[in-house]
Amino acid sequence: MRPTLANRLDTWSRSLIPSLSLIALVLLSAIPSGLPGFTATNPSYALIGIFYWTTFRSDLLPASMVFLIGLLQDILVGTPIGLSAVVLLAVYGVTLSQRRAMIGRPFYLLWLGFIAIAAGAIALAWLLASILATQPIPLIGIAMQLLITIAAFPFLVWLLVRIHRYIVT
Amino acid sequence: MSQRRPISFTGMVQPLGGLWHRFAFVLLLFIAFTVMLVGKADILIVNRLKVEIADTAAPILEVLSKPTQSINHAILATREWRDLKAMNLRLQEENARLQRWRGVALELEAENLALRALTQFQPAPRANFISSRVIADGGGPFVHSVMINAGKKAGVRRGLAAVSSSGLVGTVVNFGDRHSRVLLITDLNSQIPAVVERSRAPAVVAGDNSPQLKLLFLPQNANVQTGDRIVTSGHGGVLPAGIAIGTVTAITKSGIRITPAVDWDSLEYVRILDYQLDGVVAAAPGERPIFSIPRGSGETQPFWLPKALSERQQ
Repeated sequence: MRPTLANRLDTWSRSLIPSLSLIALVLLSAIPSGLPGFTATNPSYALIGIFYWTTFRSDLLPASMVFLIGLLQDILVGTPIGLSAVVLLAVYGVTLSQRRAMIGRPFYLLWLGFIAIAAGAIALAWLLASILATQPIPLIGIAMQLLITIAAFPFLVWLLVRIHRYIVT
Repeated sequence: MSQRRPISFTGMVQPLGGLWHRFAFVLLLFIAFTVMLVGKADILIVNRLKVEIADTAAPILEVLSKPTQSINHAILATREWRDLKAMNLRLQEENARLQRWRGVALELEAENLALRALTQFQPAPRANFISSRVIADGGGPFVHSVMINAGKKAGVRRGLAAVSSSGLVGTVVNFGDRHSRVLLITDLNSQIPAVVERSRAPAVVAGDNSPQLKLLFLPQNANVQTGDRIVTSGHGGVLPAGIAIGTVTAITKSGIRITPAVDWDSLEYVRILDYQLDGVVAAAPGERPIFSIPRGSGETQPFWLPKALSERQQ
């Protein structure tokens, strides 16, 4: 049976959801949180989103989209342009190679996998930012961001699972 | 039984699905690296594109930032209810102190006016204010900057000072039609010409992406103590003189640390000051800094009233 036009439109719009959710996450990470500690406390939502979609629906998330999301984050958040693009692409590549080890495993293993990848990503970002600034950036802010991103992971995954289910049904 | 293959390069890139995907991934990584290096060079077209995209996103961010603001207000309101009694006592005390200060200020103002008339003093150029809301903060540990919802249409230009009720926030580094980006004084790239308010020793206040600031290039044997206020010097002609930056909190072998006057946690609105400065402007000798933290007050209170300022400059 050939799919009708409406069918195809529906599939197409659903396939856009991962990308759209990532754009929303980038916007979310840019708005002022108002939490004490100011800028250091915004978790890197896009990192969680890229990790989640690459693990579970890599077919709906092309590398070019990851690249664009990275550029958008750089522009809105004010990091040196290209930095987030490099870091998110690296996360995409590594997650893609490890996704089979994480699919169908209990949640805590997924979380552990994310912790390892997030630590690597933030270390890479620190290295690149320090090179671009030609001086080492204080580590305290980096550690805070890593901890908060790890803590935000379960809540965001809960939300992404809801969105994921919508695509499937 | 499924068998785990050892991790190899081909195994790693296999899921990328064929040669094309692998090639695309490497190409994109390469492009991202190139963009990063080119972006460092401040190329016009890259900047233009950045500004356009940020301008498009600014209205969305403006709407999105409103709910968090309301939540923060609600939290603040409950906290204020809890501390109502203590706050009332503190405010009464402070009011009494400020009443005394008001007397002194009026007296000084009269004296100042009389002296100005005597010396035919040329007052500083009148400042225009642009009030705007912080719609995005970001960079996390890497960049300390905020996006505000006023741009070229509101008259914002590069290099203007952004202040809050308690002191200097930063300077405008980038602007579009509807938004601008303010580089905070705590950023790694921020260096502000300053003076020690008490001893008038010139120095530079530099950020290092930590919550505190560094005081650099102080002359040898300069007189600095903990508790000294640091204000902008106006040297370089970019920022007006006399805006409070912070207070010296530690003097160690490794350097002098300053705690900023601005409370970053409640930075919701900033005021952009336009003094129409375009050259080197030095502070008039003996001029009282406009935005200095009032003496004898341990609190960072909003002391900076536009009314007082406009009266002063008439």
